[in-house]
Amino acid sequence: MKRLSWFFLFSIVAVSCLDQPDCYQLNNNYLGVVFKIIGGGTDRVYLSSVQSPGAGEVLEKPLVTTEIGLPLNPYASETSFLFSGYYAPADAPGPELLLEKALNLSYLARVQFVSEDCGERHVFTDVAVPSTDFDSVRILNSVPTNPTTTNLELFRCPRTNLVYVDFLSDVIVKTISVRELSGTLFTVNDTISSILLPLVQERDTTTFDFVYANEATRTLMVSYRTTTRQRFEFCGEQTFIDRITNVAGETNFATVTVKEDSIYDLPRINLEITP
Amino acid sequence: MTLCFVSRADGQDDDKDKDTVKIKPSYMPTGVRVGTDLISFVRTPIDDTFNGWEFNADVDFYRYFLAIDYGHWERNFHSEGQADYSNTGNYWRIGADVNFLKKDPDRNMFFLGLRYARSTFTERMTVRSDDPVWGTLDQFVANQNVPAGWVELTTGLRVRIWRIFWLGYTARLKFALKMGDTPVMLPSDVPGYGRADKDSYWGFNYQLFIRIPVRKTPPLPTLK
Repeated sequence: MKRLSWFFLFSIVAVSCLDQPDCYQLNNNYLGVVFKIIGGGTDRVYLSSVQSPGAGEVLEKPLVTTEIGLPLNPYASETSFLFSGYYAPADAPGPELLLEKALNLSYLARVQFVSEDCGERHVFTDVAVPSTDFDSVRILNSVPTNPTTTNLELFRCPRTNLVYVDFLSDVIVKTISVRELSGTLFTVNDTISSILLPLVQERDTTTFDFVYANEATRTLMVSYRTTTRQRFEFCGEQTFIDRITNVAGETNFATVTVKEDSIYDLPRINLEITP
Repeated sequence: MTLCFVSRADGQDDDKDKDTVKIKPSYMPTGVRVGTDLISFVRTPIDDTFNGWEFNADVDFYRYFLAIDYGHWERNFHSEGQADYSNTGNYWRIGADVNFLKKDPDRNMFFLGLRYARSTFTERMTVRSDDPVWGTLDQFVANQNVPAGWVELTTGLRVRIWRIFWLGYTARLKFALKMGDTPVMLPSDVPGYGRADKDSYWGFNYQLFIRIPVRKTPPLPTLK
């Protein structure tokens, strides 16, 4: 009798071990992509559209983001995406750097039966990038996960000529022109607290003329050193700027303080100005 | 005649337990035990999704046992409006058990063991996939003669019930599953193993054996 009891006990244990999978988060069809700057940090982009043949528009609405989940086609072994928008690494307005890039992905998509309740799921592995016109890509994990984590980093080369100007108080600016480029560069017509301005890399000074809403004008002249070299393999030769200073005799802002004398991307505040 | 022989041998074992003479253990096999898994036997007629059987055999070498299993699984699932899945295949296991009940006069077993298992299976699925981005697609996918292998740690009991009849159970921790390439369909179920998406899996057999003696059972060695 004692022996039979043992057998029944273990039979119950055995039946209790029969498990069924739950139907939650079965598919791993979203590839986690993050936008980055070569030699810098995480980038920020404004995406107006992400399109894929067969699916059309992937975005529900335009968005500003540092990362995105791309839906892989479970019925194919390749999916292409076309990104449209612009890079927006700082809160400050400035010259737009358009984002018009294609990304082609290949992968192994397999279907698997899960259970009568859950049906099937699609499992993606071996993600690769056969072609792209992003400056560089890096695959961190070739197997998408659920919930989505970062699988792929999409890099752009850093912009090396944008000086980051921060105003100590808000100012309403109509236009900003660059003398060395002989024309109005920006039509702002807005209240701004900071702005990204392009330095002329072929020269060692750049002069900006600000026109306020009340037609008052201010001039900012900065001098700097330029160095041309290849720092990143994927970017070729670039001109880098450092030793930024304010040319006091030509500038008529109340105060100009140099906070960082080199150009960074992601931008750091270079000049702090009292309007 | 055989039953009488076994009974007498057991009587001798009782006497030897009281002896203080150390007897060298004999590694010559004394019998072959063959059996079947009762869970599969019962489950097949009552579970529409399962059809299977399994035979087990072991042979003793003193307290060590060579164990061999051979089985067959079929699974059939119907997921309403989504997928019809079928799987069929055979499997075998080979390994060894060590009996830790050294002095039991009936030679009952409490054992730990190790198995290497192989399976070959074919699975088919008709599926209607519905993706919110990529739409709906009807597919028929199949894997033909997929090989698989895994390792098992086993434990269990073998208890002599009456004459040559034995009952036993075997609990299995299955792990280290390896499968052949399946480029279109990821295997769902591996006969003998279970769900293919599990890194480890528990298995359980409740077994009925008959033991066929092949020679006189030697007296149990006395351990001092």
